[in-house]
Amino acid sequence: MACRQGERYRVDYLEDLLSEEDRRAYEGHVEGCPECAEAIEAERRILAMVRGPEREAPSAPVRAAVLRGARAAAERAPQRRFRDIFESPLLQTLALATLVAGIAFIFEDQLPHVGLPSLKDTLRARVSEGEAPAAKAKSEVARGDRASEESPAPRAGGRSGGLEKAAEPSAEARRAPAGASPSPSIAASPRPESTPRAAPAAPALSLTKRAPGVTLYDDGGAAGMAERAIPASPEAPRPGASTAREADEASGSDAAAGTAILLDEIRELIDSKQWKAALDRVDAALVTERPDDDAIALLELGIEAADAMGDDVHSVRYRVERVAKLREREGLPPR
Amino acid sequence: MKRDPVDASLDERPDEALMRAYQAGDVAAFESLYARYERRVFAFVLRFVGDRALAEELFQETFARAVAAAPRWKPRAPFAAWIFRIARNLCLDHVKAHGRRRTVSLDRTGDDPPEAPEPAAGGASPDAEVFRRRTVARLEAAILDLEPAQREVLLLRERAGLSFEEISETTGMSVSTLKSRMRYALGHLRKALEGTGFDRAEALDDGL
Repeated sequence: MACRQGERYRVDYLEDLLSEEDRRAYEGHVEGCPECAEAIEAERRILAMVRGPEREAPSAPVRAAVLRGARAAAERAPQRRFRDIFESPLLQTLALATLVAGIAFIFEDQLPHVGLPSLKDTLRARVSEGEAPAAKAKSEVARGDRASEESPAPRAGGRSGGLEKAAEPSAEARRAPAGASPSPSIAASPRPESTPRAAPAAPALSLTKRAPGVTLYDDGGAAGMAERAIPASPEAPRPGASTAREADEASGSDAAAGTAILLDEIRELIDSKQWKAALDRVDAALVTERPDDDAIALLELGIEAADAMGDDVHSVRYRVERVAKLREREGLPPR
Repeated sequence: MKRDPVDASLDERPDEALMRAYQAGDVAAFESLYARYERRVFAFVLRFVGDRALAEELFQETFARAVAAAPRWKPRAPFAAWIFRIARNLCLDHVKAHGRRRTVSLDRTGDDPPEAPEPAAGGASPDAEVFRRRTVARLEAAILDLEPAQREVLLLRERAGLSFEEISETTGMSVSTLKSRMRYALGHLRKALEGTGFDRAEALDDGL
């Protein structure tokens, strides 16, 4: 095993991730290679220092704020059960039926009269008796101002839109504060959008107007950090490797960019046996002036690719010489 | 209802079951999850940014976002990868917005490069302790000097204790890429500590 090959085993060796066979082969190389042995010992100590025995904890106020925020979010919005209700096929059917009935109700006057008592007349009679059935509220939503002109009867609760009304039997839904700050999950949870919704009289989304990041240790109880965080996180990360990649590109690609990324890309090309492409990347990268240690890393990858593809001798020798010079300049031992 | 999060860690349910329970309103389940991840996430964030006050801010924001996103969470990936992805994204965003921030370690006695006294032969003699502190300070600075892509894999592995597969889920990078970054990271740290005698001093095994 050559040193260059051994280098690739070193992390796995230090992390105890090598197979028994590979470990023996690697140790066989290290026994006869003081340079590799020294590197292993140094990196073993570095890892021991980085790992360390202790795990620092955040301060007590931070811990309290996190847990308070989690409690407040759960108390404010039992989101899961609330959303499940809307995902129920039965309820979706009911909502659709309500919608159809509502539309039929609005345009009832234009439908052919078949001699039965008008639904509107029936409802008006009931409202005057003090009842406020769901269908009535529904019609108010659909007709907006016109409905309230016709029926000034007070509505129970701030919101009486079709779906909110339909969810009324659920205690969870009732506990969700009408006209107050809904949880982000409720705001973001999927709902059938075909149902017309009322514009509530009370300001509904006051939460989003809260200035983000005002206080770190908010002692305001329910108005704790969870609320503070909501405006700052319109797009919460989602699991999944592809999403991770998207998040990486969206949030960190610039920060993470640099030679390491370039080296990784070349490494991936080599790993996937695209020697020529790897070599081209190395050559292109070396056109730009780089710090010596970066140039060494690039050249070493280039040599690896060139070796693997059986590049012409001159090309390999040229690269070897450049690496030797750079290593000398950096004070590193020759390969 | 207040309970010590350390007690909550006795809950043996898997992370994902606890998260499900929290979605259904079980706050104690979240407390257990928090207890499991508090120190690991904080250790990662603290070493990534190298500043305690900033680390606390980013740590709190990590969990605030997790709480806000909890209703939409689905067990498509391990919880560990999810929470650490939030944390690393915040850290990378910070680096992107504010650049590298060098802070002086509590251990550091001055800004001059620490000299390397001869390591004492075993035990925690005062000289050995000074040597240890200086070397650790130098290592902390060298970690902050790593490119973020290398720093994150080093810290996710060594401070947060994630496997390379979990780091792959967290970062979206292949395991071979991550190991290669780790190799470069260790190479840079070795170079940064060259000449300090750190590789001969037993006193250093106590760590950061």
